[in-house]
Amino acid sequence: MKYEEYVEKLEELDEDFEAGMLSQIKEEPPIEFHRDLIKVVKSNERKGYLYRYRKHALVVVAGLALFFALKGVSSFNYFSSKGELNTGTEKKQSVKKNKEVIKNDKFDYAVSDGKFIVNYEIFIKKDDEAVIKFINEKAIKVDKFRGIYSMDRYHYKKLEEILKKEGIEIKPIFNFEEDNVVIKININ
Amino acid sequence: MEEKLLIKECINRDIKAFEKLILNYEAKIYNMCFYLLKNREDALDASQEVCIKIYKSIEKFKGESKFATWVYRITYNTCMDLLKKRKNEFSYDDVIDYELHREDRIESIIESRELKYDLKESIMKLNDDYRMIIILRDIEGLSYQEISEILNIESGTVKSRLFRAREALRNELIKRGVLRR
Repeated sequence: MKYEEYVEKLEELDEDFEAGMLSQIKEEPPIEFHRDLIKVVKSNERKGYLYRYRKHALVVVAGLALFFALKGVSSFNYFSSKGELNTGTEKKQSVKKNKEVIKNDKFDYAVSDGKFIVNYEIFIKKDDEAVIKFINEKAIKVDKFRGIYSMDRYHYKKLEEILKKEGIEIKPIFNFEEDNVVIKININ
Repeated sequence: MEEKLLIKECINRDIKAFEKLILNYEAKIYNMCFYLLKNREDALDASQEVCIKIYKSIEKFKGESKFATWVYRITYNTCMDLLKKRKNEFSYDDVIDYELHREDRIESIIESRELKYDLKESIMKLNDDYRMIIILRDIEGLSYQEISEILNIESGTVKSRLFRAREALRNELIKRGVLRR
């Protein structure tokens, strides 16, 4: 059979077969189909909106995170500078801690104002020239108005001996970890 | 409102425009889904899926073919995907066929639509390709060109496949006594 004949036959069949018969068996969706469909579309649209909103929110959050990450160093510095108070508190706390330790264990005196840890307080007479001279020569003035001096272990021992000769006893250094001793000298 | 305008508004996510647009196609989509999937429930689900796909991807319609052709193509692809899935499910098809036949039988007895019933039954007996081409040509009345675009086959293939599909359908109808030899 030639191709043209074949097509012709198909066309013949096409006319004679249908006879409008098959077009009568169309299936219709139920009435509620349209309503249900629109409900679903609207709901999807809302979800889509929320999704887009969420996506944008995530972008904003990521942006902020990046911003803070970039600003991190300066922010840290800012907080650090602000945080001096905290550091101060820490210092105070450590001082307080020291104070407790000092009082309980080895020292008579603790801190005066958070600046110094005074290990010993010594009372000398204003006419005791030898002692005054020794202190002036060997001790380092830390706070002259308050009579606070720093002295190394060796010279502290010497001071101890000088005072002992004059009948004044000061507490010996024991378990003292620091190289220097902070003393408060009261002149009567 | 003109279809092109409705499509344009749908692209801008206008649900009301979509409601109007889809109203003209719901029956066509459902009909195709029903005959392809042979089951009302599946046809409803598939039709809804198709309509949502249309709404979501309407901006992809470039106007190179008729909108109806584009809609049929989406419907066809969706149904074919579902049929492929269904083939992987053990004996599911048989259960559905049985339910459909039982349902239709009851309906046909009540409404005395025996001819329609026989026609439907005979169409359902055809293989997917034949059934598809009968639906598009003889039920929906599309042109060879449109069918060729929807099924993505040559126009000559449409004609030859239609010829064979009709013969197969005729044989089914003869078996049932609807047509004489």
